[in-house]
Parts: sequence; structure tokens; C-alpha cells
Amino acid sequence: MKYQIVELIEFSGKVAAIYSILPEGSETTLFDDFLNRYKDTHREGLKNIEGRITMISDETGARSIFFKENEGKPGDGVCALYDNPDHQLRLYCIRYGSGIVILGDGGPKPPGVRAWQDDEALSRPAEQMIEISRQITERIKEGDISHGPDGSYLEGDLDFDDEVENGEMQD
Amino acid sequence: MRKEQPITRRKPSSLIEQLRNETTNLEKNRLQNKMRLAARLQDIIEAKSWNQREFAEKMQKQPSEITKWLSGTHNFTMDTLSDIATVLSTSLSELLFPAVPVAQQYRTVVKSHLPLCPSISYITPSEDALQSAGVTGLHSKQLMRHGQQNWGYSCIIPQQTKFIGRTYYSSNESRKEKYA
Repeated sequence: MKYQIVELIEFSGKVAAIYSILPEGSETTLFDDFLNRYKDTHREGLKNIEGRITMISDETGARSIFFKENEGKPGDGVCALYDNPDHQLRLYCIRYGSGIVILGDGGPKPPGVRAWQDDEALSRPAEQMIEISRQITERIKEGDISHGPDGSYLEGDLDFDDEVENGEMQD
Repeated sequence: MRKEQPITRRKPSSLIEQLRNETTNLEKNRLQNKMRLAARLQDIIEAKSWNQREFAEKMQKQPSEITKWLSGTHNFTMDTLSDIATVLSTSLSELLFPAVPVAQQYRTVVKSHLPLCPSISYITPSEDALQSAGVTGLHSKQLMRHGQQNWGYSCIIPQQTKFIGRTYYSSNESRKEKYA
């Protein structure tokens, strides 16, 4: 999957910038796909997640306390937003401090499933964000992407031409 | 080669707008107040230099319970809020309705290897900005000299004092102070 990191203007507010992943050739981001897929079955949960993202961007910032952390590899920033009060949905994200969040895809967490590794439907979006985080980190190390002087936005080369499929790099 | 700012999504999602319109004021306010309270709790805990585990010990709760409290989703009882305020040595009203965040204590020291330039006007925020803000009762230290070529100043501001000004130093210092 070739993709671009795009800012979601509906959400980006005074305190935090909200981004998502726009696959090449698609008009919808991974976050859009998440919303569209569950708008009929988990509408209340989506409303709650939308409200939390809005508060994060406008007022509180992307504090770690609002996310389920350590969903990816140590230090890669991959985490999950969930709905309240049912906690049925997981939206996988990458969080960079309190100022930047990249929203990915997600899904419902079935009862009895403790981690995404135990559920096929959650594994795909989680592994996808883990790989995207890895790629972003590489560009940050190379100086091609940075967080902006106050850590409140991404800048640099946000177009990714590498193939990502099922969480694994294609040769 | 770096590019400019990220391309903003060109087609805003109508579904996001629908979800927002469907959210009642009651639902919105509940969500916002829970998250605000969680953020407030986190700030107070950190201001005391505690971590979540230490706060849990003082509350005689499991750390997982504190994690829930700080998630921004918890529906607190009045008893729990009262206990939290007690442990944090604050009032319930202060916990729920904090005063406007201001610069509580501010200190800066600037050293220069150059002598003071008499042609540059140095503005002390304690005198200028605070007067503009109508603040009285300020305690401050005036300019101090640490030697012929070095100088610095410190300024201690009591709580609930709002700064609106900035202090600029000579260009080779490149220091600008910000105020909350």
C-alpha cells in the first residue's frame, strides 16, 4: 500500500493535530473506512470516539491517559482509542507526544479477547499501524519528517511509496 | 528534500458531521467533563511529583483503578471525588472548577558575557506587564549584578498572578520569556 499522511481538518484543533492514512488511489482514509464500516453496528461507540478525538484536539491534548498504550512495539507510539462506556471498539493510532495523533483503522474487540493478537479482525489494523509507525520513525531518524518546533504538527515528506500489506513489507 | 505542510484532506467527511449532529448536548457535556476532570487530576498528581502508582497507594486503590479514573471515561461518585480532593489536599470546588491557569511561579536567570548596553531598554515584566494587567502586590527582585560583565535577574511571582508581557534581551542573548 502506497499512502500519504493527511491532516483531518475536521479535528485538528488548538492543541493537537489529527492525521490519518490516505492510501494511494483512495478518496477515503483508514479512519474514514473505520467509521463507514461500523456506522450501523456501533454508531454510539463511533460518536463517543469522535467526541474524544475532538476534545483531544481542542482542549486536553493527546495525553497518554486517554489511550490504551503499548499496543505495538516498545516506543513506537502505537496505541488505541476506545469508546465509552462499552469499550467495544478499538481505533488504532500512532501518538507523538500530546500534539500529534495519526488515526488508523480498527474494529470491535470481542468479549474474552484480551489482546489484538488473539483476534484476526483486530490484528490487521494493528499490524498495519505498527508497520506505518516503523516507516515514519525511519524518516524521522533520517530527518525527512519532523514534529514541528512545538511538536504540534508533522512536516516533511509525508508521501510513502513503500509497499505495506498485511503488516509486512513487500520486496 | 522536505515538502511543505501535509496535504489536507480535500473531501471533509459527511459522516463525521452526522455523528456530531447526532450527539446530544447531554452526551457531549458528559464526555467533555469526564475528560477535563481526568486531565485536571493528572495535572494535580504530576504537580505533586507523584506517579500513578504513588497516587494509588495514597488512595489505597489498585493502580488499575487509577488508570480507569484517568481514562476520561470514569463516572465518579461524590464520595470518591471527596476522597480524591482530600488526598490531593485540595477542595472539591478547586478540583472540579480550577482557577484559570496562570503563571504560578516564574524565575529566569540570564547571563551575558557582554556589559549591559545602555542604549537598550530592558523591560522587567514585573513592572510593565503586570501593571498593564492591573496586578498589585508583586514581590520581585531587581536587577542583580554578578560581576562587571555578567548580569542576571530573577523574578518571583505569587500564584494567581497573570502575566501578559514578555521580556526581550539583547539580540545576542536570543531569549524570550513566555507566560502562561
